[in-house]
Amino acid sequence: MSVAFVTTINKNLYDQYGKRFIYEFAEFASGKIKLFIIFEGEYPEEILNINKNIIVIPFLSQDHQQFMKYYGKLYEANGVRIKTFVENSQQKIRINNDYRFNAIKFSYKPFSIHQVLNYLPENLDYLIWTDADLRCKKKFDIDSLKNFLPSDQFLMSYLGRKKPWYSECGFLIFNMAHKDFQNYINRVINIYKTGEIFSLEQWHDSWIWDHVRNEFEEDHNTGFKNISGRGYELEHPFVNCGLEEFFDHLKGPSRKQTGQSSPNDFK
Amino acid sequence: MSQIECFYTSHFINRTVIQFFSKGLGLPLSNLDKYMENENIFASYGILRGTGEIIKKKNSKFIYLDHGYFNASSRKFTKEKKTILNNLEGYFRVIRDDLYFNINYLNKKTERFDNLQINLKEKRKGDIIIVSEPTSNTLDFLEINNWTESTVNELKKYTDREIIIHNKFSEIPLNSLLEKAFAFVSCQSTAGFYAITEGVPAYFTHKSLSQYGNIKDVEKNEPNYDLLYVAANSQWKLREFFSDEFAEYMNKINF
Repeated sequence: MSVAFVTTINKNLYDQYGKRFIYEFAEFASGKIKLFIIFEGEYPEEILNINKNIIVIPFLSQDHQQFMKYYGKLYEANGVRIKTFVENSQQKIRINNDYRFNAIKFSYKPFSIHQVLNYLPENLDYLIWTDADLRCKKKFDIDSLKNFLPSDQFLMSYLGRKKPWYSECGFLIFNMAHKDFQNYINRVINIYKTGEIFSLEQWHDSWIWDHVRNEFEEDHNTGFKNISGRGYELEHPFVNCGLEEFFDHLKGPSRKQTGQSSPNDFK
Repeated sequence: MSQIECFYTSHFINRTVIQFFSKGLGLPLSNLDKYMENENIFASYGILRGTGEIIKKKNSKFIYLDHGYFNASSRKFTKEKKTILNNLEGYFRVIRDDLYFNINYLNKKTERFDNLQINLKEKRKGDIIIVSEPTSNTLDFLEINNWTESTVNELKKYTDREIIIHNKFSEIPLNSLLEKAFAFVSCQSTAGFYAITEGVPAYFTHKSLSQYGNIKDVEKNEPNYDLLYVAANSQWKLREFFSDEFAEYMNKINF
């Protein structure tokens, strides 16, 4: 059985937390588990020699370039929301940023996954997407991840959350051998490329992964494995599903600042 | 077997390709500025930014990586003589002790070529001979700066057909010329391999390739398909560098 991780970063995020994650991965991951880093922009030379199981690839997605050409400069696609309202009988405009509509910022992840498929060893069984704000806490190997891997009937493992939340898509495990795997990824990419994303209720990638998962569950009867366990009812399922034994996920600015999830996150 | 040492330059293509090679095979990887002369086998990608000088000096005991013969990564050549790379998903040739062809590994099995799904076209009935000029970097590297003139003069000993000079920055696309071509002549160009698939026999002046098509035989007009099969067995995708098949290949060429 073979497992690889993939993530994406740019120089700014590398300096903020990506570098720490990569070094921790090198220290704690079994040498049999590779980490593929899709790097946006010129990558630092030091990554080349961190470890033999860490491979850096420039972000070269032609599909993403096309997406950015069409939509990259639209304020709305970058999360800018404009609302008009009346106050004291005067028409006013409120402009704010809403991450839920930042299609551009969160587009690098699906396109990185799409790109890396052409660089992975051909016999790879499972591909794990992780956000680069992951902390590795102790040694792990393929056995450590076994309970979270999607078995044959499942296309993907994901961290589902009870509504009204969308899934926590900072950690996804794809079953590369599943018959619908490539179609699933292609459908996600197609939603971006065609602009269909802007017809959906929210425009960040977690919403898109969920949307396409629902489509595949309903239309193709495809199985997906929710690995949240008791974390399903919580806002931060990652640290309440068993993965917290090996990892921490620094969701949001405050956890990134402290370098760990808050004690209140662990239920 | 000597130890292989992999070296990267400052260019991202070189770095990425040689990184896959070294990590696929578990070989040491260093910046070229750390290179020290020794008996080990030198491995790198391309001839620019210092790698070419080392290869020249070593003469043998090197592994050379560059774009593949067929289905290479998609590139664009601009009028400003720049090359823009669209991805690194295509094939790369991996050659021992030469830049162009594995003269000591002549595997003619057709499976890898067949997997490329290239349609071999019937032999063309054209009249012109295309002479494909090497890039200025190749001309300098091989120290053959009067290659075009001397090749044309040599060709004229064996044929009186019209000769058209072409290079990768020419405005007329190669495909248009191939449609009316009788033969394709180059020093070592991978376009020669493409020409054969397009039904145009190819001839080479570089020593490692001329045994498969010598310009003395230009009027014989016989496409050498064996060349295609051997070439397909010497080119690999980056993802394949992690495979057992590639490790076996390396054992075979790393004699």
